[in-house]
Amino acid sequence: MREHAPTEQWSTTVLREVCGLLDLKSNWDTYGAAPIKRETAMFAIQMLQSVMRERTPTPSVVPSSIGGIQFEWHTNALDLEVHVAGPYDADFWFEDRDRGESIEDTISNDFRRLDEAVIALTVRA
Amino acid sequence: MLPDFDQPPVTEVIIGIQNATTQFSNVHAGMFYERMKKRFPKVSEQDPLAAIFETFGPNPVQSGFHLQFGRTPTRYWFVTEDDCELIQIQNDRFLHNWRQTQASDKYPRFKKLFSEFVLELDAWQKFLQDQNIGDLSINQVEVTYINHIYTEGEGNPYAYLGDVFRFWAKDMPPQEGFPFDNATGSVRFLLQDEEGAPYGRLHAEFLPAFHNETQRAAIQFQLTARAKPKQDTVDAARATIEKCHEAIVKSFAGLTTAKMHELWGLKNVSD
Repeated sequence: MREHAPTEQWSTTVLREVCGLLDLKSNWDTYGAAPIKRETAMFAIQMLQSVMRERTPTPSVVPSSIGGIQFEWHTNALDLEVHVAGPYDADFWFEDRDRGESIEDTISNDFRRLDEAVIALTVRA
Repeated sequence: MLPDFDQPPVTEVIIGIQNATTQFSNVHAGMFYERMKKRFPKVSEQDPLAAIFETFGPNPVQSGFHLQFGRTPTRYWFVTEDDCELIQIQNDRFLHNWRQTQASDKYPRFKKLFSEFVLELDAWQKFLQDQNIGDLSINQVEVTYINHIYTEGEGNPYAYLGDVFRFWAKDMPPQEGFPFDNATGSVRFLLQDEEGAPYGRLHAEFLPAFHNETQRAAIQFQLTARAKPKQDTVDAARATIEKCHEAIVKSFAGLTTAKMHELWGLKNVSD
């Protein structure tokens, strides 16, 4: 079994939702939110492709008011939120409520710290 | 100081940047053409290039997917009269190509191509500013060298891969009843900063090709270095492009054999 292979299930779901976000116009939240640029979406998808495992739960996809994309997992006493503001410009917050541990970090082009959080999510799924 | 060859097998060089999307449109393409047409009188439209990012995680991401939605941007080629050089413009790309169109076309050397690219990029940046259609916020640079390698042996050049590449076993035995047909391969290397953190990647691949005029079979050896500049400025991009070029030249020399170096006229070193 190729454990690292991203499954079609998550990629189909997430791609559809991200493409939907790209249709948002300026001021989509009526509070002056910025539209989401294609390169932000491309980078966000590429980031997920790099870290998702076959058994990793599919994240929720949420737009942010600065034109970013947020991926969220809240499952099995674990919370992971990854916010992509643009290419090479992201950050994440991870909390393991069972262990009382949390991590916050920025992400540029190296996803290894984020990967540790995704492994924890996957193992507990 | 880099390895230098009298007769390098280079047939195409591409130097370019990728930037945050601007408001560049077809109307602006016409306006920019007016500024550039003296040197690049020919124009053609091309399919858009997808955004590519060199990132580092557990799964090697194959850059190939492309989010299609709404209106796709047009990529324009502005080409010189002799077809040897062109610039490519898109709302998030600017590239300069040199290509060998006839066997007699000599590789003009990186220094010359890079100085042309810098001038053209300045013109492009000034145009974006003049039109107020976006800043040139550069998120990646790339340099590509395409080489066509001809071996000394007769017949299929792929039977002589061991003469060309140091990583290919020279004495790979022929399989009786299964003559060698061809081969493709790719290798990737990390570009690392002073602290050892990756900031880019060098892609090297070889595949079958044919000479445009003679149709003689060749080994196409393509090296592409892509990297994220330290800042999103033109100055930082220029510095990173020079590092990409250095990585390509060193890797080209490192991956090919002394026998080929002799054929291409390896000189000691040069700037």
